[in-house]
Amino acid sequence: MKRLLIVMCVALAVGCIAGAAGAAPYVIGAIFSTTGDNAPLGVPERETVEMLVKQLNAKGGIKGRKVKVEFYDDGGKPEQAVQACEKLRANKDVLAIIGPTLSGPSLAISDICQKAGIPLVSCAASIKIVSPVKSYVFKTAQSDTHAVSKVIDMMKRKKIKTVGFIHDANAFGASGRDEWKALSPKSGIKTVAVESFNTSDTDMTSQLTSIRKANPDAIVCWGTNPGPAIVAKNASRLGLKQPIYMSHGIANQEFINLAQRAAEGILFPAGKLLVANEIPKTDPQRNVLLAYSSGFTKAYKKPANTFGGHAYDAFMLVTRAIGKVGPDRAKIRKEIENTKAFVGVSGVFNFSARDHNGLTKQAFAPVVISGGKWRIAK
Amino acid sequence: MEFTGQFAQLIVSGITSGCIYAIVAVGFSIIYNSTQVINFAQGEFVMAGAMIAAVLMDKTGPAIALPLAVAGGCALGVVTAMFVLAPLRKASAVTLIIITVGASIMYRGLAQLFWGETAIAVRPFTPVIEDGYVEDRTVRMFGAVVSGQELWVVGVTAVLVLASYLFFRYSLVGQAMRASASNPMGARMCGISVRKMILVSFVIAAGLGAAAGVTVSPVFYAKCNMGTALGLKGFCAAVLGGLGNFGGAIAAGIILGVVESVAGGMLWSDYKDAVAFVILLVILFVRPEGLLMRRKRAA
Amino acid sequence: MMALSNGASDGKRRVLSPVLGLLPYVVFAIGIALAPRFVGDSSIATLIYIGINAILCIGLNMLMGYAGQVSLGHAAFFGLGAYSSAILTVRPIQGPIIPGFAAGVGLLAALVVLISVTRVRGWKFAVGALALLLLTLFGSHARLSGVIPIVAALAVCSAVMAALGLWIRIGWSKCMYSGLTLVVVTVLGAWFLRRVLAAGGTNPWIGIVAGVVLTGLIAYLVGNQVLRLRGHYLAMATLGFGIIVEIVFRQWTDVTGGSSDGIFGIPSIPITSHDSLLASGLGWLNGAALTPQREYFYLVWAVVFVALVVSVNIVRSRVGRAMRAVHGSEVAAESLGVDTERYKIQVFVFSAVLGSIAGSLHAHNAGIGYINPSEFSFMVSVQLLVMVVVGGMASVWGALLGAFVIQLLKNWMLDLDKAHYVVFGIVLKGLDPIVFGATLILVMILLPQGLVRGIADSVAASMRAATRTKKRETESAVGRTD
Repeated sequence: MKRLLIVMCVALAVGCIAGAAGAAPYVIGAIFSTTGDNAPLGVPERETVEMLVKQLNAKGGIKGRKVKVEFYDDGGKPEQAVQACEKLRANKDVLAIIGPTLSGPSLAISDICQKAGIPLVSCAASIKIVSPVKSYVFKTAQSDTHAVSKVIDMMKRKKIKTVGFIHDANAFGASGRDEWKALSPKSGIKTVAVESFNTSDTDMTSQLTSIRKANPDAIVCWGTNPGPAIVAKNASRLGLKQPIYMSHGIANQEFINLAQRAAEGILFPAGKLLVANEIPKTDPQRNVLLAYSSGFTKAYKKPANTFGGHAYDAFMLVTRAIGKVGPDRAKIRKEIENTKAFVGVSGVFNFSARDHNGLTKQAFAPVVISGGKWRIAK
Repeated sequence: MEFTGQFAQLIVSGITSGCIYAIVAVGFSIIYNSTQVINFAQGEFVMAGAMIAAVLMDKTGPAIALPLAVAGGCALGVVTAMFVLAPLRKASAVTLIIITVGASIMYRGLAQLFWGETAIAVRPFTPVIEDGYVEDRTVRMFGAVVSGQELWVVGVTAVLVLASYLFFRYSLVGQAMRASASNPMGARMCGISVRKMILVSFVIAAGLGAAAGVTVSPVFYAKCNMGTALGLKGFCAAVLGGLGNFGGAIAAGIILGVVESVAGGMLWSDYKDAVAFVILLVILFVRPEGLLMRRKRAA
Repeated sequence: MMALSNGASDGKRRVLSPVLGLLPYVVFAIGIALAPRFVGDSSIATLIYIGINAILCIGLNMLMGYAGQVSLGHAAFFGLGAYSSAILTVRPIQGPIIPGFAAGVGLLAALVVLISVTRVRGWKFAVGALALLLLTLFGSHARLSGVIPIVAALAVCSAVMAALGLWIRIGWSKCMYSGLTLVVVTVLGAWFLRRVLAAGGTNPWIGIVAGVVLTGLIAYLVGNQVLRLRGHYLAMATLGFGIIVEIVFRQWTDVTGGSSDGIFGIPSIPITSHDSLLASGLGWLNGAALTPQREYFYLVWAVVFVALVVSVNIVRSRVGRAMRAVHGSEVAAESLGVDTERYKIQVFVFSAVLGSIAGSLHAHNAGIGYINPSEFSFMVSVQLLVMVVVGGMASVWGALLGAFVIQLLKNWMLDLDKAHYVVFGIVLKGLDPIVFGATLILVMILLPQGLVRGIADSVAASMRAATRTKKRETESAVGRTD
């Protein structure tokens, strides 16, 4: 009798251990630009996901199984993103891919993921990633379309009629220019000058001089650091009096550090994270924003930024889907597509078969830089 | 009035960039004179100075940051010289070019590793601190707004140029370098070590570049890839003025800076960057020995 | 006795060497044919990239290793081929731009004809070029549809150029040809582009050919000027050229789409239809169902094979010998009557054409179909340089080896980034520039001939040492007998 009991206990113990050991972790792939010019976007994204994975696994993972993320760096180059994606595709355990950070790499790998049937949740800005819709490709970052619409709304409030547009010649700036060209005429805003600069340019006085000649009501600058900071400084030095609107590319502390006093009064659409304290308590996003912001600052000793927020949303969407339907790529895809009213950092998402971005221009708040800090613009 | 104001502003930014191109071009000429090598990594010396300044300037101010940055630049110059000297005499021009290209991208990669890839704002030499903002003084001149740091750039450039001139003209080492440049065989017979001269020329070129980097970083921001564009445009200036021609390098640098700025402002802003390279190609095709150099006898 | 034995072994050698010579190619071909059977999908993608880079390197290697010309702007030709293919297949040039664009290409062709037929230099060439330019500007505004305007244009251009030829004494008939070329190419070009626009895109093969033609024209013109320079001037000129081309890709958004989305949706190149003999043959080789990507692998590596064979043949031919003479000493070659300039330009154009083909293959890459100006930057030219240098500048196979080694190195660094090691508080990532820079320096200092030649040399040296000792032993043995 005693021997039987001992054998049963041992069998039970072995069974439990085997069961626990046999529960392999859920694997998610992540491709971020943690090196290269856009590292300030990719590094917070990677850090956010690392933080979330730790929190999730500390709580026991998804239904008892831990989560493992395989991080790759694409250096901002589409070719490197393709290599990373191929490596992830070769791993049968990968359930979904989060990222990439930038539009070029996202476009480069979207076909691969679509054909391989791996859900891809990109953190990049270009609307072309989800339009035309590919069933397996989603994105969590607000699109340039929304940003441009928001800027136009902000301008309509100030009765701006003519605009001088200056942009970075890189993917982000050029995409903004394309959207601007498409949307601004519909709101009766005339663009009287268009200039561009290269990412590595150090002085935009020439371009601003041309814009000044055209005498617009306002200036719009679309780019990522440090170009817009130089534009701000040059504009202030030239004594340009027009209000300056910029893009969400400057939604970080770095811009204020670079532009110093020239940043005063600049208006731009930003994810609500930047003005989380001023968001009314009735806004469903407020709690999520404050929790993310304080968690990130505690873990990494620096303020959270909106790009990390895109990765937060992507990770949450994927892990929620896994929690609901289990480790099946097709089911995960369907679950994400059917997600409604998901309160994330970048906005409140409502996905559908025709909308794989799930956001509207409400995801942006109108922000003005005042006293070196971000405030909601009136 | 409005037009001349715009024009003057373009000229001011042109002169600022032009001074840096001039210093880089002088560095190219010094090294070319002693080694017949185009030092691809010249722009990286400027970047090194700027990055060191970015780290030190806030805490110690220009009086300490400048010498330290120059020292750092000189150290980098020594390392580069060793790379170039390593293959000894059997190196062809192709080999040496590739070595300096390799050095250039390696330095850029190291800077990115240590200092990150974001742009860093650097405090100007004579700032004005108000409301917690660090701003530069400005002054109005000829209808344009000139910032204090831009005046520093012109001033420091002038000092560096004068110092180099005096060095090459009157100091023993300087004269030895000129001797070995114009007649290496004869210099060797007089006991001048060519290897030492090459080393010294790299150190001087690097020191000049670093000093320029420190001075211009408050205007341009310090970024690990700032060296590439500066190096290339500085080379355009060096060729324009005649490789090895000191005075030509300076004049060409400033001319290039102004032409680029004005053409960009008045004509094609999209292709402003291409202006320098188009000028380079035109010069190379039409008159490779440069505009300001007298035609040398075939050696 | 010894003489007899030598004769016999000579005979054996004469039979063996052609077979031995063919052996690497046979092994290579077998390797290409069988590789997909044993290799997973992600490795196929890597191998496709290696193949494309290999084609680029073979071209660059010819230029640098055999002709001794440093090119720091090779990515420009890569980009020209890629954009030509992409534009003609999915993003046809829009109506309003067609006349100007066609006129531009016509001008290029006319200049090429002017240089190659009349062989003018210096100011005379400048005058001729200026005349052509003015004719182009004038003509691109005129509407050249219908027979009469075209004939009129032909007459006007020929007359102007012939008159010019007489005036500056460079042969009126030869000058006239360039005028004719201007009109003919412009009209044909505009007709072709309009056809493409109407059809919404053309066949990829036509795109490749168009890319080759355009790149060849540009390479001829650039090479004609640039190759007169020596050493570092040449390096810097090619660098400047490469950067200008990249800026054009980025800024001429009407034609290239610029940086915002590059060009995407580029279709792959189908080489088999489902039930063709080729498809079943390749499927049998592959051992499994043939995916589009694996099909593309065969296409790319077939091109690599052809490029390799052609290059080796050029090297062994008279052109190759002339090039090596130029590399050794240009002055000596000239004094022996070698037309160094013509050969240098030929090699330059050949390497540019290979680059263009590689670019087209890159644009049509199965499963990706996306290009972006940042893929044709200066850093890419430097990477090609590293591949050629590591493999060996004087060896065609070396180019292949270099492409392999560097791509594997890049893959390894990708894994390194993933691991995120931290040393002394610094995260080890983005090591590409450091590794490539250090590689260039080390290889140039320690092993300037590159891996292939370096290894071959040391093997040959040790074999020579071995035969020398053997010979000494034999001789001493014979001596003792005698």
